[in-house]
Amino acid sequence: MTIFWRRLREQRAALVAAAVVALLALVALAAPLLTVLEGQDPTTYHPDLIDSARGGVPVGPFGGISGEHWLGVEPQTGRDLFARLVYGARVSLGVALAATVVQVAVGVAVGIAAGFGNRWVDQVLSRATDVIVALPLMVLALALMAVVPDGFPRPVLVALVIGLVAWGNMAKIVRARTVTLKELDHVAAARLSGWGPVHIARRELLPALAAPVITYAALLVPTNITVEAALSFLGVGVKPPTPSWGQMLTAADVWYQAAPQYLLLPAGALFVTVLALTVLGDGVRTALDPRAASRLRVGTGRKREARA
Amino acid sequence: MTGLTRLSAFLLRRFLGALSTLLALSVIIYVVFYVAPGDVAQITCGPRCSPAQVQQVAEQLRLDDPLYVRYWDFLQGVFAGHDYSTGTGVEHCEAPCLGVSYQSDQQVTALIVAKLPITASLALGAMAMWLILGVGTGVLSAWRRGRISERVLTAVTLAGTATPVFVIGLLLMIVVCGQLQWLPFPQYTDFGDDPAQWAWNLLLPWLSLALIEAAKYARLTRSSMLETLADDHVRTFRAYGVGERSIIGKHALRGAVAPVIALTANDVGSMFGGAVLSETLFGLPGLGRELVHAVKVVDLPVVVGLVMVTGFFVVLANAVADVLYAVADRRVVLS
Amino acid sequence: MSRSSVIARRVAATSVSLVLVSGAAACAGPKDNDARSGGGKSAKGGTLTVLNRDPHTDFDPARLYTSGGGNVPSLVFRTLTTRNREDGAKGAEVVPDLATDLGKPSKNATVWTYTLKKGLKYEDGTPITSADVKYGIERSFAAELSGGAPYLRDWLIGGDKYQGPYKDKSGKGLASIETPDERTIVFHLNKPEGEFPYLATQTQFTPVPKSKDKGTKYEEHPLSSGPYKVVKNENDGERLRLERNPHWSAETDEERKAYPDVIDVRSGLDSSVINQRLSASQGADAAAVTTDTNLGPAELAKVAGDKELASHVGTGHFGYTNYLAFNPKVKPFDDPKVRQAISYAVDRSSVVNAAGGSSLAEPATTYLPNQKSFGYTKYDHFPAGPNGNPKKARELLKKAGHKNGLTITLTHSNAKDFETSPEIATAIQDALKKAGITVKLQGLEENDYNDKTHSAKDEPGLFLAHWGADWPSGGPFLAPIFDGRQIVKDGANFNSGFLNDKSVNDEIDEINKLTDLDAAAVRWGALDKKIGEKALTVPLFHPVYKRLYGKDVKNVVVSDWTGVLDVSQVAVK
Repeated sequence: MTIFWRRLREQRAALVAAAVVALLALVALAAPLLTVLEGQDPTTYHPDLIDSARGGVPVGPFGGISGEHWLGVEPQTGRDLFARLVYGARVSLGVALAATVVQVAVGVAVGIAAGFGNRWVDQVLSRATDVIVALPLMVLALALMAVVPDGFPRPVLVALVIGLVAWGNMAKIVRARTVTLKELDHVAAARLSGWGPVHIARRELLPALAAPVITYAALLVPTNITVEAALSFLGVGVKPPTPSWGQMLTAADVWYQAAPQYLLLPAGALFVTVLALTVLGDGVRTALDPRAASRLRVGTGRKREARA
Repeated sequence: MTGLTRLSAFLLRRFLGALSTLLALSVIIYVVFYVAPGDVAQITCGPRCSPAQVQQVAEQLRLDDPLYVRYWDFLQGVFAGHDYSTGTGVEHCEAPCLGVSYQSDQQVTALIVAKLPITASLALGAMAMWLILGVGTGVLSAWRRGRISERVLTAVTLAGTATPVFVIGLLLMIVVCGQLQWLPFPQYTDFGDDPAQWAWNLLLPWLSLALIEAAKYARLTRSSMLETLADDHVRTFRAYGVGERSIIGKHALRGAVAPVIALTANDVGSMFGGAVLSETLFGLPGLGRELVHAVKVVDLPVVVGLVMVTGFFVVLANAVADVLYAVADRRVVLS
Repeated sequence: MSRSSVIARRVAATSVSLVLVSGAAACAGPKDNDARSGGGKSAKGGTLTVLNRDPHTDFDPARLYTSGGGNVPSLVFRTLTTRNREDGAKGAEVVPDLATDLGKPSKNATVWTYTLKKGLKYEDGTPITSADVKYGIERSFAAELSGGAPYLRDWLIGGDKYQGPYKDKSGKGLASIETPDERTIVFHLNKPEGEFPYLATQTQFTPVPKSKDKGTKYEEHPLSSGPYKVVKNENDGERLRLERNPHWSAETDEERKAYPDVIDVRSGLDSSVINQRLSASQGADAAAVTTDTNLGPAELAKVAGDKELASHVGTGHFGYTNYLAFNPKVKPFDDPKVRQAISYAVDRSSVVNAAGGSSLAEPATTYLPNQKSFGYTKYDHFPAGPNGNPKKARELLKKAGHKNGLTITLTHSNAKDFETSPEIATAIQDALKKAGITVKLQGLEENDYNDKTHSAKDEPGLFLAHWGADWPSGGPFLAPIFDGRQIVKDGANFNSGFLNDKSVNDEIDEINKLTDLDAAAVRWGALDKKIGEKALTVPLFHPVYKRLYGKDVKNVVVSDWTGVLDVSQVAVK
């Protein structure tokens, strides 16, 4: 483990990314504090700050940016954008990360079992994956809505819906990888020497799977944020007036000409999140895989001195 | 010979698997719609219908039958076809009959035949684009690994991923079609009528979808290639003085083919039923948009039909992927 | 004009923009009488493209639910009467179409007799007869062709029992519709209905020859009686191509101008794309209009800054009210003081903003739309001012025994319609907070929302609702919502307040006896004011329709009946 941390620390880009992710998490957690500092909250309407006759565009330059409203106000309502953005981070990051965890857990478990198990296990799991992949989000969302009681916490439900509906690709990738790995010499040797499947999975497969899984998981996060937005259309998203980046993006796309900052802020926040997560994902992968560090340098013609 | 028998055994197994998947899907949907809200008869009849009129509609659509009877009717229709009344006459829906829409009185099979080319055009064109864009970027970034140009490429593709289709698509339309007028506003022209116009009119949706999907492929290509690059045999090639270009092009890319195929099959398969947002945004009347509408108006026969067709394509895409996979990676046998 | 200052200002602002628009339209193409008589710039020919969101899935006159016969449908289907195709309030009048007049009432407006004009023909050249009108109405009773408005069922003698011509094998049809000769048709109603001429504008009054009826397949090629016929219907109404009907003659039809040679209706488009295409106005889109897509607030903000674009916007008013509905069977809404407190606390400015701003919505204090034809009578029983009166609301709550405030649930839909959608609900939530009322939001998926809000059993205590005019009069606006005899216990119920007040019911009956529509309007207005005192609803806003049209579109007519440009008047040459 200490080796892992040391390797991670060696990569400057990954460190910066980790800092950004930490900062985002901090912003999300400290949202109430930050808005108190600003003196605003995410739900109060400010009708005087928008031009009602022109569809509700914010009054003033740059979407009504001022000392009171640091990032301006939302068109139509005049709600404070900074407050909505930082509160939105809570929902979006929380839901997307939780959903990703579900997807990775289910996807890896099913993928390994299908790739490593016998033909029947493979058949059953692969067909189940097919059913899930083929089942449209809307239908599944409807089903869950009908089953889950009204008082169930919404963000958890949303994370579950996204997590349970979109693990198919992860399972496929893991299965494909496992099938390849199974034939590799060292895994085959492990099998021949009588190791149990769980043991092999843990010792031989998981480390080798880490790279594709982490790479793909880092990409699942932004997709999940978008899916959360789509779910709010269907009535199983987070409930208004709770803000989320996905909802902000959905509402903002038509506003790009009249109030660009309304679209650019959540889009920018999402982009920074995705970029940071990807770079961090790369870093983690490199740190996990002993060969990775040298691999990056192989053949690039660069003689970079290892600092450690 | 053994290769052939193995292939036919594989195909048979796949066929049975597909059948069970489709049956499972149809059962799930019947059950979901049984518990989901929405009074079919009231929606079909109209908002201002009286209870008596609603009852007539329910009888006509046989909505009062128990769930298993309705499902059995559905299966019968699939295998034997069924007759239905238009009021003035009787129409026959040939097997495999997926039923008749509650709302529009169209045969579901006819409806799917009309909409399938649109969705297929969207999915396959977008696939071609994202493979070119994604794998290309992936190869480039594996080649230029660690350099500034790789970082820029990474950032550009990630910007695509981080933006939902309704944002990218709308922005592209406003700028490319509205302001610059380089491309027409998307619409569907039948491929048979005018292939050039077909591609020209769909270029923008393809591009939007490709921009969104490309990052995933770029990352996957890059990481798989780096993996292979570090393999012992590649090191050996390099030690023997094989050029970098040849190593990247011939050997490293090979390692990326299998995972890329798996992902492509999956994405194309689900795009056949899942391109809802893009179909809506670009005004392409495909399967995805029809599905959303059908779910909204609780049009069960249409939903079941569409989901089964989607499911069929998912299964088909996976089977194709498995075959290609075995071809690409000789270590894998069809199982 | 004794309105409160804010409304007066708004109306002033609106009329300014109306003047602007009509002035600009005059540049694009004159729409005075000169132009209509064929001179000026409006000329025959060309192709008009209609860019729409919703496809015309059931293009069958029996199945369409329209106000005044619809926009595109009315190009193909003529009816006994129709709406007057003129700008503004004149356009809210009913005029003869197939019939020679608005109908002759007798026996206290329970019997209505119409005579068809001479020389009327279908697209195949065969003559239109009164029996075809009767058959067209009868088939709308078939369960296979359901979808229309409920009035024929409720008004015609035996209408509640009749199941349409496919089930009725007697061949006589509905006895309450008589056709003594080929040009005469007589309707026998079970009660006086002075507004019958309005009803006769709906597409169910379109003639359909029995020999051409193909049941549910008729929609693929309905026989045209209007200036255009359907030559192509692709994908269940997604694309309609209409071309001239050579057997239609302008001499029998004073309302439809039919300038373009071809009407190409393309639907299934995203609303933001429709508006982008109309504002870009390239190629065929220069001669394009939309009949179902308004400018959204974001687009309005852009259009307002562009004079050229702003000159291609049609503004209109359709009789429509968005409101809060109470269910007095649910506590605490059984207490009128609580209902009044909420009426006082509502902030109409923020609701209007959430609905798209003051250019797209006008605050409402009356249930009836603010137009003359509805008999609009101004009242504001619980004056909340533009921003709500939380102080007065708190006082009332205290009197009602809720000293420490109140927690209630507001039900809304998750549809993105800016009407019953989350944006409006959160605006209400924010306003009521100031009056010490904590609002929990219950957002329902659309079907669930419709089921619950229209169910006498499951109706929520407080929900966002809306009502639109079946025709521009108080009758179809007030009766379904406030007539106690229209409470439906085991089906779709619209009397959300469960009002069953004898004096209200009696007044509705009395007004229905009037055949003088202006006199009736005045009485509807007075009735609305009286019902308003009960605080069963909180009127929120009336929408304003703003629609873009392509730069080559001329002769734009926007009536108060539909609020949108009339495709039958548009010219593209």
